[in-house]
Amino acid sequence: MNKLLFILAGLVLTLGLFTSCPAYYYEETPVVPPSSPTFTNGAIQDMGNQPPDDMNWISPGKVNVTNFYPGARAEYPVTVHNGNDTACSFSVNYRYPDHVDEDFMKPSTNVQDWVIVADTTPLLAPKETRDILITLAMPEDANIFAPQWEFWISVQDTSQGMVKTELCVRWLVTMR
Amino acid sequence: MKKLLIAVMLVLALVLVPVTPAFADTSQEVSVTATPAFIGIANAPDNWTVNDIVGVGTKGVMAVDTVYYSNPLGDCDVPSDPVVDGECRFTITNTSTVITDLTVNFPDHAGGDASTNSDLGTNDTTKFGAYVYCTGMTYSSGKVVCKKAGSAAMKEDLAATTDIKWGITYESQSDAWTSPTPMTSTVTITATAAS
Repeated sequence: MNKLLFILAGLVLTLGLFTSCPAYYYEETPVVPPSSPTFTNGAIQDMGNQPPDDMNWISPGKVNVTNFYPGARAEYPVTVHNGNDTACSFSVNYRYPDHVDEDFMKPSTNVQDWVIVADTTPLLAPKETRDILITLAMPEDANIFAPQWEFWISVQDTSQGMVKTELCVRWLVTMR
Repeated sequence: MKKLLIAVMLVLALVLVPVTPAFADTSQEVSVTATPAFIGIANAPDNWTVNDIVGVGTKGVMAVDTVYYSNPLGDCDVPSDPVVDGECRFTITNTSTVITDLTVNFPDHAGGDASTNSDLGTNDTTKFGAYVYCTGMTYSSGKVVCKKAGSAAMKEDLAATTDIKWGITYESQSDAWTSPTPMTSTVTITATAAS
């Protein structure tokens, strides 16, 4: 009987050590380190299909975030190109989507507070291409309002007239 | 001894229950991926004064309760079924490398009577109505309501690097103007990767 108690005590002690080990807590696991193999900015690498230098463009068209959860962060840059012959100011902002992908929901009003744009008013030199980091940080106490949801990142050349163009990156978020 | 054994088993059970989900969660990390793609459109011209292309009545002056089109063939000429290039004022130069959707929004006016968008396509008192159309569309049944925000796509699945022409239908407010000051709004055409 004493041996059995000794084994059980050892098991309890071992489990206790596991639970106190930070590596096993998902809250402390780095979510998207820059060197992660899933962090692939294919648009930058795909220079062969790049639009003409004298046109404004952005990249990528869609960002897919999966296994997301309250407390998690996800990052991906939007690449903005100024096709003008003069320096130009752009606006880069969170955008409530006009329409969403099938099986995805429009975001709750809180989502705009979870999106951080590193530079919302970048001034780009003629023909300059620049990455602007977008961070999605969902608070730990946030409610999961939908299993799949979508928001947009809007990029606009602010020098345009009364009928203007807007280029958007679609962020498609799937909760785990 | 039996009591001690039961106590130990209870402690063990209490420890195991919260630990199990923690182990399960470690197998999933957030994943962020993107498909290589460039989104790029340009629009020209970047302006439209209602009733100022050809002009009906006094050119550049908008009457109440009247439907106008950004149609180079005539400001009050209804586009054909299907719409042809010549009936569209605006040209989208599309350099996107993937299939895209194009959506147009027309916010409320500022200045003058400050008509607001009915979001229905049709007018009302103090409200204007708006539709958008593009080349190849069956205008009578296919024109898209142009809302102040959240419009449906005017053109879905536009092929990569394919240009398109488009136009706006505008129905002025049904009641009389109260201000001689011109009113303005900024129309935005948005390009996104297709679903």
